[in-house]
Amino acid sequence: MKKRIGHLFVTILTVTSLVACSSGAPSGTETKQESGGETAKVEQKIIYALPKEPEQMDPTLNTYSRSSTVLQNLFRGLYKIDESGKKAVPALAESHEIDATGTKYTFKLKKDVKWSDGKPITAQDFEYSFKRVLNPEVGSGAAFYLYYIKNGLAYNQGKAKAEDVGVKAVDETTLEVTLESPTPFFIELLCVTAYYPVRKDVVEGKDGWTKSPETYITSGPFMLTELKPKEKYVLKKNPNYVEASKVKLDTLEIVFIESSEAELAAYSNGEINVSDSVGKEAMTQFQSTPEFVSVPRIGTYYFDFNASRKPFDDPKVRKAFSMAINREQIVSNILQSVEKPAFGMVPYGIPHATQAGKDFREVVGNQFQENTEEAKKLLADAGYPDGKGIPEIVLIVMADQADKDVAQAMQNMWKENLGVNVTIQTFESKVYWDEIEQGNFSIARDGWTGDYPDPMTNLDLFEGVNTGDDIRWSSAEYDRLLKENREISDQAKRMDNYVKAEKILMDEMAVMPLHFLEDQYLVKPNVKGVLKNYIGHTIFEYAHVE
Amino acid sequence: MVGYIVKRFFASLLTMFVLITITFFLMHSIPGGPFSPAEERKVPASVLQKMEEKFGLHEPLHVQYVNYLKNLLQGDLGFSFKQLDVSVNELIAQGFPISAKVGLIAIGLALLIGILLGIVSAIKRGKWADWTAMIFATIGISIPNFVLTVLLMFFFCVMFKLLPTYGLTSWKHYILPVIGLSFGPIAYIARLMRSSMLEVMRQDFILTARAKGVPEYRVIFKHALKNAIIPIVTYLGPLVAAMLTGSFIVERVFSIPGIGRDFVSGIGDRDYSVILGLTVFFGVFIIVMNFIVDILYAIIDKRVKIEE
Repeated sequence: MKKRIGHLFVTILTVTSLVACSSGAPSGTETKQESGGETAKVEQKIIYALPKEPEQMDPTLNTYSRSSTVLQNLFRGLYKIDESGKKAVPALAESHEIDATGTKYTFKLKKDVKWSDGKPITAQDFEYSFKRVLNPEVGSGAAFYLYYIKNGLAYNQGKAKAEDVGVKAVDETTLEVTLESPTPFFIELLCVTAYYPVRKDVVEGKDGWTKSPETYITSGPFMLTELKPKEKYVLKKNPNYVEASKVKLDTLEIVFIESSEAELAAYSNGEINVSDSVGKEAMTQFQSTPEFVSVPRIGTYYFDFNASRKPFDDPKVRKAFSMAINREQIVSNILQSVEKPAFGMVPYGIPHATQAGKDFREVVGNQFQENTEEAKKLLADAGYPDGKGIPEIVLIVMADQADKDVAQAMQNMWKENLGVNVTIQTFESKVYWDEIEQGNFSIARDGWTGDYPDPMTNLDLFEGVNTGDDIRWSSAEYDRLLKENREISDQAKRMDNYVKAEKILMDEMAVMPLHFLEDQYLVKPNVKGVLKNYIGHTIFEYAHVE
Repeated sequence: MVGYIVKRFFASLLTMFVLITITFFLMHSIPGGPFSPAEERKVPASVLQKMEEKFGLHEPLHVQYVNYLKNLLQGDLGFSFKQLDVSVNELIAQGFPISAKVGLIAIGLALLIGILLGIVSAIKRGKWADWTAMIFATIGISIPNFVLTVLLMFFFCVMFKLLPTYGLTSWKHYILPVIGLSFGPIAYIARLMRSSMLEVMRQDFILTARAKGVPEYRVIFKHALKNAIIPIVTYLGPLVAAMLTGSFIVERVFSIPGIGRDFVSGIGDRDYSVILGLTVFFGVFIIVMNFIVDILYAIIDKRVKIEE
């Protein structure tokens, strides 16, 4: 009996896996045939899934990345990220001028920019919104994005008045913004939702303006027409959007599917057209099909070394650990991912400012190499030959399966290559960061996605002012290079400084990069133009159905 | 009767108070808070502090506790910490009807099939019908919910592409969640019904009825069933409470916008007001359900006296 059940089980498994493997391909060809033979107009509607409802629908209060994805389809600010997903181009602004000091920006709004209810969008709206983000009484979590503006920080901390903030509407279509110091990436920064406009009478008119489509007035390619909590948001094309003539999609339905297995089932079943949460299973099933897309985002998966605790107070030990693992193997075998191993901190997707069309990473190349022999030597130099006499090492990770797998793989590699025993501890995400803050770790999993395409967004994490409660490492020269880069606008010099700073970081191995982040998504063959920008938001402004 | 109800009412109030107090302090004793640094988003400490002040989290715990009770007495369960402009009252008002609708259908199905299976296997004791029903019931009890729902989804949605995977927009959408919810209860009810039925069938009054020449179907459905069903009624209280308030697993797998998954995700997010609000809601609901069941006993079985 037992044996027979076993047979039955094997048969079921084989049958199901066969069906699972083949299910992707035929559905693709089917749709192609349909679109080829049918000349009638297809419905311009895309159904897209997010794991949960957005946390915050007011762009001036938002700091969440899931909410940003929704807001980036509903709102537009002065600038937006273009169709390539890499460059900032004017959206509501027509042009901007920078004065000789590099701190004063004058923006001209385009003619006829309108809210979704048809009223004009004015420079005053921007002034109101920027000040709203910084207003200490509003208590917006996004305020720090606007600290670049003159007196932004001071006003937010109650040390200056609203009038002192460096943003002023000169007239209906002219906006003047004064910054604390020249910020060469300010235009890119304007593509963050915190810089998007909201209208005073809308926000202050009624409590909970974000909760009903009638009161939810937007400035972007889509507007909200139906809101079913926890179920779906229905977005329709906004006819008053400044580039409405280029928006081909009529309807974008955002449905909420919490489990990634269910989302894969919904995608395979043809109930959704675009799927964002691509788990291991989806990855293996679709990786070799044209439906699978993987694009770099400006982030890095890395590990913190606690430089205040032995043995990682010694850069030699940090370097030995970093050189003794095999990143390629971890990424392709353990994570089964197509992401790129990292031998530096600045990710792909950040352009090199003086070499057109090339990423900073491509120009600079790797900042270090893996080398087991060299690693052994370094460890011996530091006084721990073959790992003898090394103090206890605790690697902490979050209670996530992929993270745990990576931790175990590294644990094995260190044991094998360096003869060192590492203890792994897992923590729930709510407690995890406290543990890091308390310094209860030797090595800790960390990660970061930047906000704008300038190396600053990934490197300023490791300035002395920011490392006090995580890696506890600092370098005066590193801080000086970054400080200088905030004050100058000579791009050649700035890039040079970034290379030097990154070299310091990697020579000292203050943190151990593992791989650069990429966003994976599945998209049905008849859906074109879905864009993932460098921050990882999914944009449907340029999408259409064939 | 009135005295009994009044007594039950005050006992329930006390239970609720204890429940809220324990939940409140337990919840705050879990390390981490709603505004502890989130993954990969390093919001400055000063901003987090400001958020805490906005929600009154900077106050000492006992002050927060008193404030919560004050608001609760006015029927205000507060705002979610995670979904920043949604109140817990709204959350329940939107989610509960959805969970309850699926739950009610599942209860109906569970009772119908469970009782029928139980009766059949009791009457056909030791025959193949009994064996089949009991094998089914054993499987039903031993397969965990999360395995069953995933299997259902795999076979019906992915393999045969017969049924939709998410939402509740048509009757088709109800099929899998209802099966997922009622499978366990069906099995439990069937076993309960079988043993209760077997016991009743051995009683003297059944023998008397048969001796009188009452037809077999009347013996079963009139005489035996009425007595055998009492254990099922006992089970009904907790069952109704559990089913109407939604299931974490079923709602998560089939993306149903009910309140079943809010409780678990609330704990993960340290969304204090959601945890407490749902505790209060579930607490009241379970107390009321148990109370109704007690009354039902008296109606079904005249020998039960409520004053006792």
